[in-house]
This record gives sequence, structure tokens and C-alpha cells, in this order.
Amino acid sequence: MEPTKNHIQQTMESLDGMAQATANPFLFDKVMNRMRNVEQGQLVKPATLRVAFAIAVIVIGVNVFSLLHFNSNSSARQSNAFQREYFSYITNF
Amino acid sequence: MSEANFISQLREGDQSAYKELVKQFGNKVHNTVIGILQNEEDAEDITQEVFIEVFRSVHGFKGESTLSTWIYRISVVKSLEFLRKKKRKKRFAVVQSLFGMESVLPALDKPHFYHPGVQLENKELSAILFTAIDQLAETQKTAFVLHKVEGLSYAEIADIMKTSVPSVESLMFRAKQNLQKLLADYYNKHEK
Repeated sequence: MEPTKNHIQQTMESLDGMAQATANPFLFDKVMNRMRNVEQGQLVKPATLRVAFAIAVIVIGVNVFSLLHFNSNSSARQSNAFQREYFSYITNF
Repeated sequence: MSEANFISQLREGDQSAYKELVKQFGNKVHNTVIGILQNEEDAEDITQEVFIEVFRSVHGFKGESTLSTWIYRISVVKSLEFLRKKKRKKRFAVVQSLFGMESVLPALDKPHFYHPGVQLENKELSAILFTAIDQLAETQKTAFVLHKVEGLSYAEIADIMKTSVPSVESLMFRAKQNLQKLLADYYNKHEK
């Protein structure tokens, strides 16, 4: 039991008199570089957003156009086909 | 130069003031962060993040505490945030491995951390102690590292942790008790 107690005590005291860990000597340059990179990233962001917005507008526009155009065409085609099928005798007169 | 003047220079974005701040606090921040994270590479990364945060938010610094207390507080918060993120990632990796999505085998034992400032004769014992420190609750770990690794007084720690000196005393008492229990388990296992 005693050796364990001694070990614990020695381990608990193992940080006594320790020195401070020193930072990277180029810390300031690294921080400034990182800040510059982050700022550039932020500048790129609005441009990326603008492109994404433009693409979204184009995609929605194409969808709306095709929906309106092909829908109206298809209903006209359907009614023509219906007329030809059931009321063809009318035009035959 | 007074602290108020120095802070106003920082607010103006004066590069020489930035440099002076890194010179004054670089080692303090790094030593605190490395004590909490117990990883040299992660500590270097978070030390940089601390200074970026300091430079960005110095405009909002109200001067309710000293500059030193404020910087230590940012260091502790950033380090603990990083540890939480790392733990979440680990948990996710374990879940992934359970579903066979990725063959991640959890490490059986965390590799020992050797603090660069520890005396050579205490190297092995301090590594065992750091492993035990890593298992403490966040508040106990913070108080213990700030006191034993960074050498701050209980009053300074109380300011940084926004608590009272008796609370820090209690945290330190519980931290020491828990460390002794953890070390007893460790030595009982390894002496058998």
C-alpha cells in the first residue's frame, strides 16, 4: 500500500517547478497570415452568393417558363385530340 | 504605456500594438492551451485562433476585467470548445464504426503527453498525471491547469472563471481528490 501512496504523491508533485511552454517564434506572422486569409475568404463569399443566386433565378425561370408553355400547349393538344375523336363527324359535314 | 492606451491602440488596428500583445501573451496563451489540450499541434492552432479572436473582438472589450484576464478567458473557452468538438467527432466515428461505415478502431489508451516545460526527471510521472488531468471535469481541469501549469493565483483564476475564490479552492480540492483516486487506480492496475 505504501509504495502506491508514495507514487501518487510523487506524481502529484511532478509539475512542481515546471517551466512555461514557449509559443512558436513566428506566432505573430502566422496569426496575421491567417487573419488575411480569413478576410479574403469573407470577400469571396458575397461573390459566391451572387453567383448562386443568379443560377437559382435562371433555374426557377426555366422551370416556370416550361411549366406555363408546355402546360398550355398540352391542354390545347388534348382538346384537339378529344374533338377529333368524338366530334369528327361535325367537321365532316 | 497604460493599459487603456494600449487597448485603444489595439482598437485602432495598430500593427505594432498587435505585435506587442503577441510578444507579451504568446507564451501565456500557448502554455494554458497546451495544458488543457495536451497536444502540441492542436495547441499551436488554437493559440493562433485565440489571438485572431482577441484582435477581432477588442472593439467590444469593455475593460471590466484586465486585458490579461480577458485573454486567459478566451484561451480557456477556445480550448474547451475545441475539446468538445473533438469528443463529438470521436463519438460520431464510433457510431460510424458500429454501422460498418468506416473501420475506425477506438484507441485503447491515449498516448502520453509530455509537456515541454516539465523537468526531465519528472517527465514520465507528469505524463501519467496529465492523463489523469484529462479525465477531470471541465471546471476542475481548468482550475488545476491554470494553477499548476500556468502558475496563476486562486484570485486570478476566480476572475478568469468568473467565480469566487472559495469556489476555486473547492474546485482545486475536488480536482486533487479525483486525481489521487485516478492515480491510485492507475498504480493498482500497473503494479499487479
